[in-house]
Amino acid sequence: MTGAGAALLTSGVAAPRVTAVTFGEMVDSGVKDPFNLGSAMAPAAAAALLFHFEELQLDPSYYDLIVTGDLGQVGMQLTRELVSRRGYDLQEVYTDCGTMIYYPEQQVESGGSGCASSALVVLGHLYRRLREGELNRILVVATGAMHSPTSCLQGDSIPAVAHAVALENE
Amino acid sequence: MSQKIGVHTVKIERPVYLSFSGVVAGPKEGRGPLSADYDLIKEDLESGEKSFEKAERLMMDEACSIALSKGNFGIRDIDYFMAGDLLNQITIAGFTGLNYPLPFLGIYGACANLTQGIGLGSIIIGGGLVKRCWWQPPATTAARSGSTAIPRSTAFRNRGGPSGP
Repeated sequence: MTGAGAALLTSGVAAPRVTAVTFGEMVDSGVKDPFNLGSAMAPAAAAALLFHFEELQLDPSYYDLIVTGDLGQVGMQLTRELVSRRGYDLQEVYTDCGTMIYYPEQQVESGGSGCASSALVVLGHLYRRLREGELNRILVVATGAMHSPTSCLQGDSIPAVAHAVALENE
Repeated sequence: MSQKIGVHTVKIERPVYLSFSGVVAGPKEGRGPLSADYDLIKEDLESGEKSFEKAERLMMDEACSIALSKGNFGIRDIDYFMAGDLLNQITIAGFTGLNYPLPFLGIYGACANLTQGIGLGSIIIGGGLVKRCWWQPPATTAARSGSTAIPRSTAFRNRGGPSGP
């Protein structure tokens, strides 16, 4: 997908606050197919979510919305399942930015992919909803597949990472 | 101050705000259900540039300019410029950084660029190292874009910097 986003962070201009950051670990799920990045990245997303919940002793219901970055439909379902195995039910509070960007008739299959996915949805759509008070607490878990054309050609699997940022209205 | 919780988490105790954003979308994204929330929608992918890569630089620059303009900020109000993208050696971020003579930090977390950048920026501000503000333009893809629709910031023009990509 195509897009760019910029965020201006300050210590003095009141707006939604960044209240917590959870940096995830590199995870290798063994997936080698670069056309199946949702499955490659889902374990990293689940790990970051679990680190966040457990270290801050939070339940997913603390948030009005939890979004991953660009897992698409396949990766989103896998993430939901992996997190539920550890006793956390994401329920309806969870979705994925890549599934929100296009209409079904735009035929993008599983959804949008790329770092612009979370940028457009979070800095555009969700940021507006936070500013208007429709949402007050969201958790953004952007997911990255850390492969390259060279690593794929040499037969390596696709390692992934995810980082979570909590945005909350005061 | 910020507080490390466990192995992976930092609680940002001192207020750090996501004060302004700038979002530029491609043509296909602009026809999607979230189109009303984008600041600028490109009508074509090439944007009059000689390559898609140059058009992508333009998109990142426009997103930055939009965020600056919303806050009525000049470049000298910003402490750091962080950027990442998905091209080789994050070349889009590097070339865009030429337009913003600030301490530059290129970041790469692939599609996790957004939260990696916001997270690092928040820790620095939350730690009290930066008194003013932090600008983090996080993301582009293998993007294409259209013509410049958003003027560059007044502060940028006054400083007589390069005219951008």
